[in-house]
Parts: sequence; structure tokens; C-alpha cells
Amino acid sequence: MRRWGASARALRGVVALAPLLALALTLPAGTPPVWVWGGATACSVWWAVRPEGPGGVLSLVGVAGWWAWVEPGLPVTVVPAAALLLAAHVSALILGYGPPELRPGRAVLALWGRRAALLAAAAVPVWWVGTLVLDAGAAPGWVWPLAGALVAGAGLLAAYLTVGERIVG
Amino acid sequence: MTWQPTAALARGVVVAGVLPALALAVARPALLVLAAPVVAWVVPALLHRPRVEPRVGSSTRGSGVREGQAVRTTADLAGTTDVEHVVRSTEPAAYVAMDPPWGTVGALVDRSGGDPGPVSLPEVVVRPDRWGQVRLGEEQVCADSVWGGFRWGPQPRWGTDLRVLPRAEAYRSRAGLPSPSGLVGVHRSSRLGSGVELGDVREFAPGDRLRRIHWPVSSRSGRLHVTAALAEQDAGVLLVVDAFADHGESGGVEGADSSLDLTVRAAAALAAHHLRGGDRVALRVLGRPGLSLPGGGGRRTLRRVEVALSSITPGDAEPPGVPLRLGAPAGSFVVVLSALLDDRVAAVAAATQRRGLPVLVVDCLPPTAAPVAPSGVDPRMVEAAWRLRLLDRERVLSALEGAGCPTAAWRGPGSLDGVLSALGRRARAPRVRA
Repeated sequence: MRRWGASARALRGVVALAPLLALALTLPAGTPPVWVWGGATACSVWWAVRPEGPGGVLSLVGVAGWWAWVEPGLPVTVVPAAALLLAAHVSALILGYGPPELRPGRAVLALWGRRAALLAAAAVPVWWVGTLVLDAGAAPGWVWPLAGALVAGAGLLAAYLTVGERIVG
Repeated sequence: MTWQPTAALARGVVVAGVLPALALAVARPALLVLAAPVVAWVVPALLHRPRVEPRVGSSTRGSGVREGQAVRTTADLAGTTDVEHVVRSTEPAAYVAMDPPWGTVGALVDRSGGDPGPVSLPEVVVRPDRWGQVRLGEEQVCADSVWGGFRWGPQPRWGTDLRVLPRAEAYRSRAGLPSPSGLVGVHRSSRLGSGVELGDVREFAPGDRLRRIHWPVSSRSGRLHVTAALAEQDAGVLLVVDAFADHGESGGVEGADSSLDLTVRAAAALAAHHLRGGDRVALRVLGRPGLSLPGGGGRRTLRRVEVALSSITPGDAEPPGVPLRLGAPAGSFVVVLSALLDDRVAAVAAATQRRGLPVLVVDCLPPTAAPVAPSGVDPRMVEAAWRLRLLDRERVLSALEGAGCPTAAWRGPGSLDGVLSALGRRARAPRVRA
């Protein structure tokens, strides 16, 4: 911890706090029990200490799971929640560039700041389309199977691009 | 070494797959919104999958760096078509300070002009704090692709070798050497010659130059008199360095000195001083006979002496059972630099003095030097043994003085002036041969 520079400390702070803030945005829908707070805090801190460890997946999926548990609709607070989760993910990505003593410079932070702002904006059209669909009433029966097939196809494509060639090789 | 998916990409793919699937399974559209930014990152990260593997090229090798002098180390990275960010990490090494302090530095690859081609890795500034052969710690280099989806490395590299020369202390002595014997030089000789210092006024003789006529004496005496000058000669200096052991703990160029630190830095300063003055300097390293150098002059000899000094490691590689021999040429001035904790050094200095060569023993034991008690040994016993050793050393110093061999402690520039002047006066005094 003594070797962390100022920028690395700030990034680790984002990794630790952003998922908890995203969790706090569900308070209007329902107060998370203590064990949810405890689990989210543990995963976030673990993720901040080891940015390339499994704490990241647990933290992101855990917070999203609580959202799914308490929030059936699409409140506007889900957009900043998505931005917070993305901020934690990008911060962990920058921290993973090198060993713990690496101090990311301004150019790196500026590049990823611009990218994060662009990526976070992707949540807005999705939220807007979702709001329109929900306002229109129940979706036709073919919508959900089609969406499921699209997601499965995208997942398979991503898996192939990521690890498929290595398995063949 | 090939490109591998990063942990961030694995995390992104899981989130981008699980959250939408969960959204469809439990009909929670909020999950789609939460996953959207991550999906938006996964797509370009996958599309920028690298094809070209980088190669680490040659690195800069430092030679002739002086202790306390900073040097930049870098290396080239080729095949950077798909590289966006590079990181270089250098393991710390003893007596080497680095900037950044932990030796890890990263930087974006400048892609403003298209394919950047081979790029220079970020520089790490190293500053060796002690003379000697320094091998910087092993380096690791890694590169990340555009959007951070894939990583190449960490690729290990051997550390850079640096030869660190002793600090060049500004040593200036105004005292002449006691035994100048060459043809030309800066030391005042006891013989008359073509120097500039007045040696005598004598009557004019055929062959004398007219500009040497001393008119005041000539007018008073009524006969022509000329001035005669003392010749200026160079000298042969043999530097004897005691490398049998290193006493005390070295704190680097700005910290405490060990005995070998003082010895090496004093020898370097003396060599530089005498070689700049036109003297011939030879080097004899006691304990490391392979590092000894024959006499020579000029900058090249100075470089050779400094390189030999920087190659010294404490130890005893002298032939066993054979008395030490310095191999001092006739007429040379012998300077023995030693901590005087090995009786052989004092013995060989006294023997050289008996041969008729002028010998100066420079005491290079720092006042604060003390051994560190090994684990399991009572520190009080070590301290008592060290005191006995110092008492014995005092006896050796007295014996050397008694044998006519002057000693002086090395305390930096000018610390030998007094004893050198006394040696010079003694050499010019008339001798009575039995």
C-alpha cells in the first residue's frame, strides 16, 4: 500500500466506492439488508486491492443482482448506477496495466476518462428504449425469444473471439 | 510470448453475457441498462484483437558511469501496430536509486501519426550510489492493446550491466613527490636543469644563453654571471590498494564509507592527480593480482586505473605461501592504501621502505567502521574482539613509523600534503652512506 501513488489510490477508491454507490441508488426501491451491504463492501474492497482478481465479477454481478431483486421497473437512477459500475470497471482496467507500484499518468487517465464518458452514454438510449417499451404495455410473444437468441449469439461470438482461437491452436 | 485476454476483458464478457441473460430470464430491464456500458466496451476491445507481436529491441548500456551520476536506461519496442500502452518495471538493485522510485513506469504509445513503428520504452533514471560492477535488476515489459482487451507480456529482460567508476574527488596537492626521476614533468628536481625555479647564480661559461645573464650580480662583481634553474621531472607512482577485506558498512556515495570505499576513492583521486601532472602511475591490487596494471601515463592510463578499481571485490587471490611482492620499479614512489588490518600489508610496506624506495602508507579505515555481529554470536564479544584488533593496528602503525615509513589518514583532498612535504624535505637532505 505504501507503494501506491496518488493516482493509483484515487483509482482504487473509485473501484471500492462506485459499486457501493450504485447499490445505494436502489434505496428508493428498498433498503438492502446488512448482509448485502457487507457482501458488496467485501467484494469491492477485494476488487480494489486486487483489480485483476475475481472480486470484480462478484461485485458487478452482485450489485446488478440486487437491482434485479428490488427493482422491476426502469427508474432514471439506473443510468447513473450503470455509469458507476462502468467507472469501477475502467478504473480496475487501468490499475491492471501493471504492478501495484505503477502510477498511471495524466494522459492515460484523460484517455480513459473520455472513453468512459462515451461508454456511459450508451446506457441512456437503452434506458430510453426500455422506457418506451414498458410504456407501450406487454411485449409480443416473439420479442423475448428473439432477444435471448441475440444475447446468446453475441455471447458465443465474444467467447470465440476471446478464447476460441487459443482452444483451436 | 503471445497476446492474452486481460482480466478486464474476461470480467467484461461475463458481465455482458450474464446480465442480459438474467434480464431476459427474470424480466428485469434494469439489468440491460446496467450492462449496456460494459457491452459497449467489450465490442471495441474484441474488435481490436492484436495480430502483431511486439519485440523488445536493444537497450542502452551504460559504461563509465560515475557513482552518484544519474543515467537514463531505455529500450526499443518493435511491432507496436496494435499496442496502446506499455509498462516497464525494473527490479530494485543494491546501491541503485531509481526514478520513479519503484522502477515501474508506463506510457501511452503515440499513435497520432499512424503506425508508430518501433517506439522507445519509458525511461527509468537510475543512479548507482557505489562504485563497482552493477547489474540492474531484471526488467519486465508488457503491452496492452487498444481498448485494453489483450495483453502481451510481462516479458522478462536481463538487467542492464553498468560499470560504475569511483567518484572523481577534486584532489589537489601542492607538495612535490620525493623521488622525481624522469625526463620532464612538474616536480621540482634536486638537480639543476632547464626549469623555471631559481636554483643558483654562477659565473658565465661558454654555451650559456645570453638571456640567462643576471645583470645585478654581474655589475656588482664585474664578471658575467648567469642564473641556473632546477630541473623539472616526472615521477613514477605505484598505487598499492589493499583489497583483502572490506571493513564497515557502505552507505553509498552520500552515506557512510567502508574501508574499501575510502581506499578505492583515494586511489582514484591520487591516480587522477598524478596522471594530470604528467607522472607515470602503476597499480597493484593486493588480493586481486589480476587487476594490477603496469606503469603508464595519460588519460588512457587513468581510464584503465579507474576501470580496474571499479572491478575490485574484496578477497584474497594471492598465491598461498608466497610473500607479497609489489614489483615496484626503481625510483618510484609507493603509496600503500590500506585499512592496515592485515599484517602482510604492513610487512610489505616496511620491506619496500628498506629497499630504499619512498613509501607512504595511507590509512583508509573509517573511524566509524565496526563489524556486525553474526546471528548467534554475542555482540559484546564481537565488540571486544574488534577493540583488540584496533589495539593491534595501533601497534602496527607505530612500528611503521619506527621503520621510517610515514602514515597519514585519508580524509579527502589535501590530506596528504603535510606528509608529502616532509617526505620531499627528507629526500633532498644530504645522505651519509656507511
